[in-house]
Amino acid sequence: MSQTVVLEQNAVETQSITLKFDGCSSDANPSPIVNPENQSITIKFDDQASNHHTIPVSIPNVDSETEAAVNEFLRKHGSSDEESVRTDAMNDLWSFIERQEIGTVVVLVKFASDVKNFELLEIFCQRVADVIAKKTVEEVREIFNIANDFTPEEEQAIRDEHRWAFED
Amino acid sequence: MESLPDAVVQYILSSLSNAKDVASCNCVSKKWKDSMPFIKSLYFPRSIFDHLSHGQTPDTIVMKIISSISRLEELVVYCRFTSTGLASWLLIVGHSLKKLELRMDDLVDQNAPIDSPSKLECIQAARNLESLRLWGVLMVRAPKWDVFQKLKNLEIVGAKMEDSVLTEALRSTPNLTHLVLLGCEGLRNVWIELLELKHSKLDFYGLGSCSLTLRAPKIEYLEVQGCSWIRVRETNYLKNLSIANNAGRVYMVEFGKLIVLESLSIRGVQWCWDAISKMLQLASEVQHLYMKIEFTGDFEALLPFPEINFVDFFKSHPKLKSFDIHGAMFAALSHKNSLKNVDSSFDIPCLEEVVITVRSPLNAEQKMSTLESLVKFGKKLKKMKMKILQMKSGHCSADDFFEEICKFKFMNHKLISIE
Repeated sequence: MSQTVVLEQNAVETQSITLKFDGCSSDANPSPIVNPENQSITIKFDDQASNHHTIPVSIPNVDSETEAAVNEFLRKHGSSDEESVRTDAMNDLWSFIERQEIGTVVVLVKFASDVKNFELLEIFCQRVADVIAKKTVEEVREIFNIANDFTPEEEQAIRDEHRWAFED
Repeated sequence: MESLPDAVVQYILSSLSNAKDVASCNCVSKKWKDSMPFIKSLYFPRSIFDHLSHGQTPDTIVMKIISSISRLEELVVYCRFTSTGLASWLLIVGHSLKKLELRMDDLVDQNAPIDSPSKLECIQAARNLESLRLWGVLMVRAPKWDVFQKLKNLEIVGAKMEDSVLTEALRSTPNLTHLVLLGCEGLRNVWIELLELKHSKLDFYGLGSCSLTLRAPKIEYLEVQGCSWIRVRETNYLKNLSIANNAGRVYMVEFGKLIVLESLSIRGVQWCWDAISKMLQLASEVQHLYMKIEFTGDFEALLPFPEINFVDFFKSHPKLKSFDIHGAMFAALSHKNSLKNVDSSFDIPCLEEVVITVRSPLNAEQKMSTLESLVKFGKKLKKMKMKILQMKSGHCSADDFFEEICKFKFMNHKLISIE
């Protein structure tokens, strides 16, 4: 099963929610511009050059082993145009990430989005999605520290609507 | 997670596709619920609705989830459904759907009343499809499809249909670049014309007596199983070819020039000699050759291969890099006259890897000469693997032969391995 993901890097006209990352502040949360005709998520990075980091980066809030693994990926991936080298780099990073705690991966997602590195973001986000899959609602809330902002009635209504998904 | 920009959270969630995950994520928080409509791809596994409570049907549940998605591009349904359900879903997502995969399961109960309109016909509503995969299709008559202009990839696994039905169905998919038909029953004379086709895998189930005519001038990769008669006239781009017939005899092959063919695999119990020699002749540029044909012979009688001259063979396949041969071919290269014409200027320039499967100890001396010649003239030879199968031992010549091979291996131990 392929999971299709749309990530567009060129400024081609697509009717989509354009989530532009404001370059002036890394804390800025972009507000989505909604196009009602065709709603799809695309993350556009205005700055193309930022996707080719090969100089070592420092990543806040992760241990040195993780930082090293990410830098190794950036170095290897950016060093060659050959597909097999890049795939190897991705596989290595992927196996490393699979062994890390989810909290670390979320930190890495934030990092990748702050520095606008498309390749890193894709890998880290996929890992998070894999962790979410097949978990119950309670498990997901706990793993990611998510507050339940539904009222009990609202939550029950959702559970009733998709009863089959909650019967375990 | 709370510190991540909304856009990134939505991006993460939009890559979920299992319907159960999608449904339960609606409940995690408001932000997550708001992200669910942006999913691109939905997958309903086989057993997802095995324990439904009263009043719920797979059709309606699928419908409910689909309706909440704003622009679905891929839909995979392995659970059971009806044509009415399918029609209602495609009414909503038909225009945006690029990929569709359905477990039709028609072959499980072929006497079931045919839904009208049939599930197949409903698919027509997804007019922008680029890829369609169907499992278990019974095509009694060709579906009344308009042309799927954008359809590039069609895969049918497990099907039963007649020749004319297939031809007509393919008229609605003229722009295919990939066609896979696996386990197709009921076909006898297959005629396929697809001018954009590049990659195709065709597996015809039955007596192995199908005939295939393929008109696909752009074809690059072709795999065919189950035909005794194959005609592909335009093959200017064909790089990879595999012809196998497990059940029947291969009578005739007709191909255009195979000037860019890099890899050839020919397999079967029995091929007419004409077909074998034609393939070998056409594949003069080939780099990888795999031959597992057990016998030749134009009629019922299973005959061994005639003699093949070793020098002529390698001279006419100068680019050969890897060579995997089974008993009959090896025996043919090991005839008493096979090594005539060997002179000092002869060499096998590109050969790097050889795999030989031996079954019979007959003509052991000649076979050893052939092995020695391969090593002697194959200057670039890196690996020779010998697979020794089910030799009838009790015959002392078998043991002698085996001993010879072992000795040979010992002398060339870097090169040779035995299984």
